[in-house]
Amino acid sequence: MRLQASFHLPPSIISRLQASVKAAGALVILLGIASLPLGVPLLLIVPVVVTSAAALLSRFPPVTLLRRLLMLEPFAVAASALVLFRPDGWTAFWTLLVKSSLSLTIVIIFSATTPFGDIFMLLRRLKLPGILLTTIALLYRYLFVLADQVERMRRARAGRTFAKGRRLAWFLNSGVIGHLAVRSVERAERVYAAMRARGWE
Amino acid sequence: MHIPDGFLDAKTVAATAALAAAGVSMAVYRARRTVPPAKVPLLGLSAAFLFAAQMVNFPVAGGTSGHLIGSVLAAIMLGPSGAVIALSAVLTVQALLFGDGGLLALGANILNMAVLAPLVGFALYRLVSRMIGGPRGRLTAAGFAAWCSIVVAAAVCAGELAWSGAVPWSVGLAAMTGIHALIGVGEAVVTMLVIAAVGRIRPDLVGSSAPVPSSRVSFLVYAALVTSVVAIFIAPFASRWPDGLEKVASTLGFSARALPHPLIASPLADYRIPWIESPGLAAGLAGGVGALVVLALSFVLATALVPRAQNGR
Repeated sequence: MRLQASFHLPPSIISRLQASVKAAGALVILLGIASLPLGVPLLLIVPVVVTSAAALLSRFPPVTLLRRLLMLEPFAVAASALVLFRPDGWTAFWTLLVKSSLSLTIVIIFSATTPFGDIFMLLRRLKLPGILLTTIALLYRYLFVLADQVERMRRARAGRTFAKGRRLAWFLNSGVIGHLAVRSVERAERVYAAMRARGWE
Repeated sequence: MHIPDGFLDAKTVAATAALAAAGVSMAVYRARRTVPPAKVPLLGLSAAFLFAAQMVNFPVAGGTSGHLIGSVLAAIMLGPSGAVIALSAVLTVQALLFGDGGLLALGANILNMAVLAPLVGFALYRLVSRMIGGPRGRLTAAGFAAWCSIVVAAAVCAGELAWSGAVPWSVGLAAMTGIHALIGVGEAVVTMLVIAAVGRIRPDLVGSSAPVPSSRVSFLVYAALVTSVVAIFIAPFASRWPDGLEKVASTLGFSARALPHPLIASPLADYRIPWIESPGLAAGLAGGVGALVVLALSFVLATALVPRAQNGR
């Protein structure tokens, strides 16, 4: 998996909606798509129209939307392929692929039009337990820091390694991950000290 | 193994969400009692670490690559309850921000990868590391537990897909566990290498003194949860095993056209041993043999990774 640089969509009707409204709407649409039967392709017209309307209203650049969809699509294709063993294989395959692509599009639009802060406030209003909220907040805060760190460590490692080979790569990558684990634990100690100094609990 | 949206129907979404909520609630309850405030930021940093570690690609054959999943690594570093919380946070952020795994399927994904995988993995890790003992035993146990956690999560995932009526059980189980038995070997190797690397720098983080608070009650609750998930999603299918694929094959008439001998005969093909009649038993046996092979391989790799002088400790 690769971290995508977050980008800003132009303000639109959808991005101005409250996060709770957007989340509820997305869940209703997703449930609707999930409850459609496989093997009746005509019924798919309804969610296709709804999803296209959502995509238009969000002012998502079509190429960007498609590119994001294609990046996430391999999982859906692989899982859909298992359906080919049903008696109505091909119809079920295409219906399932369209269903999962439409659902993916909805999720992509939701996450692109809702900043993390809004999502986090929504989770907080849903009364998620505090320790889980703290974990999610710190995860988001340090995810990009650690992603940068792992990239730096890998580049440094590559700069010092003159041999190539699959087995060596497994050892070196595992070493990078092990070092990252230790540095994360040590960073957690510093973060705790900093949080205490600012009056946390 | 992230299930996207569109594959699970409403009843499976509801059932998996309820079970995942039960597992996460129990973990939160335990973490409140066992995780001191000083360790709370560690959960968040570990979650970020797991997320970042999943971005390191390991080259596999033919240009493809895989990455660490880290359920057992998290369970060893944080204990089972902490691992459940950290992994749930990872999956939640992946679903909400990166579209990796569906929103409706979040419950199922948390249940498979953030509840079942670390709990099953941690129980096996404790069991095997007590049986073998020493640093070598802990490494062996980590590799074995990592493989088992992946295969169990994949089998339950196949059960959920079959529950939804999307993928026939026999096909789903064979494909999911077959592929993940291979992925699990990679996961086992990487888990062992990472733990060995951490052990060289900070042995206290993964050694015998690593934090593993446990109580009998929480063990029973977790065991009951795991058992009921397996009973709900796997047991109903295991009794009527040879369905879908065989039926389809015979109706389409390609069972007659099937090759008399496969081009490459695999040992234990189809997870079934030919001379044993009951298919459920045979599947269990094949899984057991696979587990034993992985255990033996883990032991060999652990012996190679641990310096000889340390083994007595």
